Amino acid sequence: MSAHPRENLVAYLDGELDTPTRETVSAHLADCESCRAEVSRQSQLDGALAALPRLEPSPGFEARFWARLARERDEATGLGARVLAWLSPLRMGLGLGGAAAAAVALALAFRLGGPAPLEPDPDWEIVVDSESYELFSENVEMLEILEILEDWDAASET
Amino acid sequence: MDDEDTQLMLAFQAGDRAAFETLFRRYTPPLLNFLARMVQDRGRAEELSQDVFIRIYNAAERYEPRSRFSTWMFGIARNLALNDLARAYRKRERQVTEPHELDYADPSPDAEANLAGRRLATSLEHSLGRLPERQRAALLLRSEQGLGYQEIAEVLETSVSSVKSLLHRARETLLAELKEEAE
Repeated sequence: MSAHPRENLVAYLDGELDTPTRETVSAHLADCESCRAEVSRQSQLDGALAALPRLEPSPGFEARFWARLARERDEATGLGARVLAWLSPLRMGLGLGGAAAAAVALALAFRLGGPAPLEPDPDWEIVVDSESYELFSENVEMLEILEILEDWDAASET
Repeated sequence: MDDEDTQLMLAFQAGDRAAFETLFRRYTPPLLNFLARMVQDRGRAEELSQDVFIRIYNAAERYEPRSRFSTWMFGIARNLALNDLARAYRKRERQVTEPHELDYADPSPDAEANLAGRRLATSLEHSLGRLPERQRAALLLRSEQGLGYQEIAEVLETSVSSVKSLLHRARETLLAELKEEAE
């Protein structure tokens, strides 16, 4: 009798062996009582695992999901809008394009941990999107502008 | 990728929110069960299930079907579960060797007749909770979710032979523990 193909017995049971290996294992099982007993044990374990109770989502799970999604998206766009509004005078002065300004806004939002609440400027379109983020990633030197903004902000308070 | 779930995800990408809702309702139960047995905490599993769907929702714009939808989804779930377990271990919030009781409703009115079955289920749950995380993930994906070895390998980012080994070791451990409890 060939060596016991212990590790292949589970794969045999799961139907995951290639044809030649499956045939080899089948031939072995025909002659090996201990391996047949092992297959039987594994099969019973399979049955017990399959019979484990199934959890159902708690009541209101779906409604909570949609509420949470809406809340997180509002927080993300709200933050970007406030920072964009704060940038608007500087944006005109520096001649920044829309996507560039949004990239700076995104950088600010992450770096400053959230600006103080400001009145949103209705003329500015909210652009905190993947294109802006990619622009930010490609133009890290934009972060130098943050120093200008911080100096400008400090100067405006004196 | 032409499986139905991938087509639903592509439809959602094109603006069909009902397609996402279909995927959400279809996969909430299996996702919840997988995560609950991975992190051994039902409440946390519900939060993580929502985390998975939020990531899927937000990824729609950039979605490119490189694998089956379920493979992608369980890959996200597995990463979140492992991160959560690592976080909990660092904070010592939960002892993974003593899993929380997962609260199941007993569907059968004949509780006495099911007593032996429930004891076995409890023992099996505890043994599952003590498995190393990768063995546990492989076994749950196979026995609970019915994934094939190739798909499990993609979810776990490993090889098919590694999946075979993980499943073999996981089952040997469970059988040994169940035998010990029975004696």
